[in-house]
Amino acid sequence: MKKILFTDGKHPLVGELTKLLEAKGYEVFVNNSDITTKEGVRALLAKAGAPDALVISGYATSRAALDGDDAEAIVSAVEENILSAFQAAKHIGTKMLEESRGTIIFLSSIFADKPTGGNPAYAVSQGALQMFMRELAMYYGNMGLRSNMIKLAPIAAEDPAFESDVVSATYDIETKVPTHLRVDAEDALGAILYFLSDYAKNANGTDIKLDGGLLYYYHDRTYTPAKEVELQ
Amino acid sequence: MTIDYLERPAIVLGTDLKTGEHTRLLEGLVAIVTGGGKGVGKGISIRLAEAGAKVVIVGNANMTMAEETCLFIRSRGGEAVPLGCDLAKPESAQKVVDFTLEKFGRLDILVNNAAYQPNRDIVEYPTELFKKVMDVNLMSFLRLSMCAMPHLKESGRGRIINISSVHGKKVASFDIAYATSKGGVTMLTRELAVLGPQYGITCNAILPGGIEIEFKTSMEKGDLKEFKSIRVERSRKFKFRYKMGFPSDVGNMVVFLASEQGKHYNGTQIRADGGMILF
Repeated sequence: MKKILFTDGKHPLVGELTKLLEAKGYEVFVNNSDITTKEGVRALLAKAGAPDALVISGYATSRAALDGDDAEAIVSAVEENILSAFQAAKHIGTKMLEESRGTIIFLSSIFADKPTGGNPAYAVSQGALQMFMRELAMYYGNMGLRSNMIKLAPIAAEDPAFESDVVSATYDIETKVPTHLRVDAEDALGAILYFLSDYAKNANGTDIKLDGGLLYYYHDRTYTPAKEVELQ
Repeated sequence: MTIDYLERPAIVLGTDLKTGEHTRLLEGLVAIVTGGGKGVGKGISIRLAEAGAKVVIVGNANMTMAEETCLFIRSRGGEAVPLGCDLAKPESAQKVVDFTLEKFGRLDILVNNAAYQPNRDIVEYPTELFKKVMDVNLMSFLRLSMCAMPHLKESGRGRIINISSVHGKKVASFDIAYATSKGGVTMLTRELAVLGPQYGITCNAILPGGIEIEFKTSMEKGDLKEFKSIRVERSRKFKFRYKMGFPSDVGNMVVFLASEQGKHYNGTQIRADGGMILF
C-alpha cells in the first residue's frame, strides 16, 4: 500500500483529499504538529516513516498588510512555511532517498506567481517554495527523487484569507475563468496521482496550474459559456 | 581582482526637451542602499550619488567597505553616510530608517540589496544557517520595506527596488537557501507593486547575473576556493558567448527606475545578466 504524507493539515483540501486517497486504497498520514525544527520533523518521521509521496503544503497565512505595522506576523508565517518545507525535504527527503522511494509534491497556489493583495505572507512563502522546489529537483532529481508543484486557484470565493480591495483574487467563475469550473479536491487528487505514477518519470521541477485559466485573466473580459454564444 | 566602479557611462542627467535644460535625475532625493559598500551595492550607491541622491550606505559589522565607498562618493562631490547594522536582526530595519531621517530628513528610494550566500546543498545546511540566509536576503527586505513605507508615502514618489538575482528565476545549483530567498523576493516585489500605487510608490526587482565583483569575504576558506573555481570555469565556458557585467550596469538601472522616467515600471523583474540565463 502506498503512503502519502501531508506536512500541513491546515490546508483546506487536505481533509477531502485524505478521504479520496483512502477510498483509492492509499495510506494517508496528515501532520498537524510543528516541523520547523529538526526535532519536530524527526518526531514526525519516527511516527509516519518514509512516504511514497511527501506532500508539502505550507499553509500558514497572515492577514497583516505590508502597509501596516505588524511585520513580525508576516515574517512568522513565511518562516513557518519555508522552514517546515526545508526540514521536511531535508530529513524526510533523505530517508526517502535511502529507501529509494517516492516523490516530493508541493501543494501550492497560483499565488506563487500572482500577488494576493491581502495575504502577502502566503504569496511570499509560495514564491520562495517555488524556487526551493526547483532547487530540490536539480539536487535530489540527480539521485532519483523528483520534485514538482501543483498550483491551485483559490479554493473558494468566500475564503476570507485572501480577500483584498487591491487585487481581485476572488474566484469569480462567471467572469474570470474560461472553463467556468471551480477548483476542488479532485483536481488536486488527479495531479497528485499523476506525479506519483510512472507517467511522470520525466516531470521534475515542473508545475501544473489548475485554475481554469484564471491566471491569464486580463481586465474586464466576461467569458460567456460556449452554449450561449451565437455563431456568426 | 580590482573592479572598476566607474565602468560604463552613467545615466545621471535628464533633459527638458522644451528648455534644453539638463538636471540630475535624483537631485534632492534621499536613498538607502543595504549592502551598499561593496560589489553590486557599491555600484548602485555610486550611481545614485552621481545622479544627485544623498545616500545612506548600510554595511554589516565590518564597516570598512561602507566607509570607503562613502569617501569615494564624497571625493567626487556626492553625499553619502555609512551605517553599520546587522540586517538579520528584526530591530535593524527601524534603526536604518530612523538614522536616514535623522541625517537627511526624508526618504524617497529604498534599495534592498544586502545578501548572504554560504553556498551549500540542502543536506549540508544547518537550520540556523538556512534561517540566517532567509533573514538577510528576504526578511530584511520585507521589514525595511514596511518601516520605509510611511516615509515613501510622504515623499509622494517613493521607490522600492529589490536586488534579486537570476537565481530568483533559474536554479543556482550551489545554494538552495539563496535561490529560495530570491523566489520569495519575487513575490514580495509583486505584493508591494500592487499595494504601492495608491501611495505613489512603485516596486521593482533587478536580477543581476554574471557581474564582476570582489569575492565574498564572508565565505569560509574551502567554500571560497570552490566558488572561485566555479567562477573561473564559468567565465571560460561562456567566454565567447557573453561578457561579464559590472556593478555600474545594475547601478544605472537603479537610477532609471528611481527617476521620473521609471515611474511606469511597477512589479517588473529586469534581468541584468548579459543574457546568461538563456544559455
